[in-house]
Amino acid sequence: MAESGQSMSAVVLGNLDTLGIIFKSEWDTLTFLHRHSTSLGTAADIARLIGYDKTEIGVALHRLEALGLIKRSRVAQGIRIYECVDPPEPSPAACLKELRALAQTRTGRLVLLGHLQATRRGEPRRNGSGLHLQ
Amino acid sequence: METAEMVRTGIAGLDEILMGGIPRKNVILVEGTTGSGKTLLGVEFIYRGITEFNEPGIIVLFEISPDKLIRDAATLGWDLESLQQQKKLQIVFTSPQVLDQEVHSPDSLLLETAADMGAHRIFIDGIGLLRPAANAGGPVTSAGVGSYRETLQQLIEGLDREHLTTMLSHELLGNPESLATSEGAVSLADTVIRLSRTLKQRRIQRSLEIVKSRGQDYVHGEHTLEIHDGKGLEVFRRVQVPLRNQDQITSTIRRSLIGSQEMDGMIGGGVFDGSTTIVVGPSGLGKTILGLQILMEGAMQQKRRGLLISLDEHTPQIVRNAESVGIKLKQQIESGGIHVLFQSPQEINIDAHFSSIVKTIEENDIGRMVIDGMTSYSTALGDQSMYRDFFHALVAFSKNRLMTTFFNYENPEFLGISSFMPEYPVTSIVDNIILMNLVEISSTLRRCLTVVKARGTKHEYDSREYVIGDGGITLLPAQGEIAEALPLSRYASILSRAPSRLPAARPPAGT
Repeated sequence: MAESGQSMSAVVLGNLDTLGIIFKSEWDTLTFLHRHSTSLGTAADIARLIGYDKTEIGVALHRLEALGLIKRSRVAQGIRIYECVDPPEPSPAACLKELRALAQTRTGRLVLLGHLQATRRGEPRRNGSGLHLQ
Repeated sequence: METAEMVRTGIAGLDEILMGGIPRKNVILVEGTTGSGKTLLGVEFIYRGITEFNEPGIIVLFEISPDKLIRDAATLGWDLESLQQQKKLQIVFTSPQVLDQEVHSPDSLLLETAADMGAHRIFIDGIGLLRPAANAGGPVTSAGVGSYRETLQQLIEGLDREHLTTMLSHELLGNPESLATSEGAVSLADTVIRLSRTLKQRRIQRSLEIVKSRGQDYVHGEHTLEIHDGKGLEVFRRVQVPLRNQDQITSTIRRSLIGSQEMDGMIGGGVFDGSTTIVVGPSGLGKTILGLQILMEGAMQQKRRGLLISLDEHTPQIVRNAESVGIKLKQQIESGGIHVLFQSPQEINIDAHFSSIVKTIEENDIGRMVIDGMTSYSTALGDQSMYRDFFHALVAFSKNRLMTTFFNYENPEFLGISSFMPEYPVTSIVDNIILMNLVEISSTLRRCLTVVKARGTKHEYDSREYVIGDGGITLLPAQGEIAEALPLSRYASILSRAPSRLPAARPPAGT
């Protein structure tokens, strides 16, 4: 059990490193956008729907875009179209797929959460922040 | 007047009810209660647009998660994911507030997306949710409803500018807010489709009605809506008398032989082609066998394909019973000479059932039909108006095709008939009536057949005894001396329908 837990942990860590995902808010945002195909709204809308602070989600969206994991349209009156995109490189794409599959189980989710940082250094943590999405 | 270009929905049966589709640029509102099929109808409208008419489309959702929509659509055989990858479909998840803001925006991202992908159709699911956005969630006031109407108007204007054919869905909840938003939406929409979901005899029944549609004619009334796994929605036109071309010939002097020289003789040389006949009698007297004989005669001797419709017996059971009296039904079924349509009366939906009858007849060029029997319809439907509509529609449809049709009707009374088809008197509609009766002779019950009515034909009124044996029903030859018919004054109890001869009057004394 311990061995399989350790190997899963190593897989999760390796995949997160490849993708560049560090924070729980980033993973939750990515999962939300993946589920919702194409989202039309603001960072605040997404933050409200997944239970985060809007600034945190704003930063997460910016980082996910920089990592090539999401696409954002131009901004029109604060609104954007957000889309999840598959990473162009085969390796990150496979990592993302594997992480999603692992997150389908409770064990996988717990291991994943164990490797994600709750908040950025110096940022106050909201009570019950985040949905801990798969 | 210029004919408007029609947008076909692609939904099975719906375009027929809309007489070809919906005029392009009409704003379509689909409203209905929870679970009535609104979202599905909207999604299929987009899906068929892409796959059948090469019209890319957008689906806007407020409440349903797109991944669940994609999952549910897959059970119907629609691969929305693939259409998204091909850039023919865009599923957009947003909030009513954002959409409200979008429609006011001169550089709307939604409309930009529509233009970029060359979208022709858009479906927005749950426009009732726009009301709180427009009215800031306050109580329903005339100003609030006005504001909602304005939001809708602006939304419609914006979508119209991009030449999108718009379908909106609205949930009817029965509360004042829902009614107010429905009213606003209905007045702005050009086409209103109302869906409902009702519990009928412990079964769920969905229906569809075109409430209005500007710039076109359509089939009025409440039609059946069904959802089929692996296929999608299907609308069945309300059972009604089909439209008839004025020049269509619906009567002829050509005769359809029943197949027994004696029986054909009784009815004046066979029934007319295109005529309708009711065969009435109690259970077990051979109505089904007579029906099979008629179909066999048609298929084998007159090259007219037959259709037997049964709500009571499965095909194997019908075949077995036919074989037991030497009727080679199986061969005719296998060669396509006779078709059997069985449907369980428990699950019958009359619109769908009628549609399958019509389809079978048209696809197989059926010339003779036997309905076995009408009593089961009456019991299964439990609704006299539906039963009447079905019967009328079937009679009219069969006459339009000059098809010879026999309806079997099981009379509940075993000895004699005091009430003829009490549920719904149809004797004036049909052309011929054949009675099959049990008569008590001495201590034995014997079967006899009487032609009560044969429209346009000089027929016999004699009752003839028959037997069921090899080949089916055979009339026995009239034997012995037929009793002399006396004047009515020589009978008693005529009105009580049990006449008996009075003894011959004795000559007065002294003569």
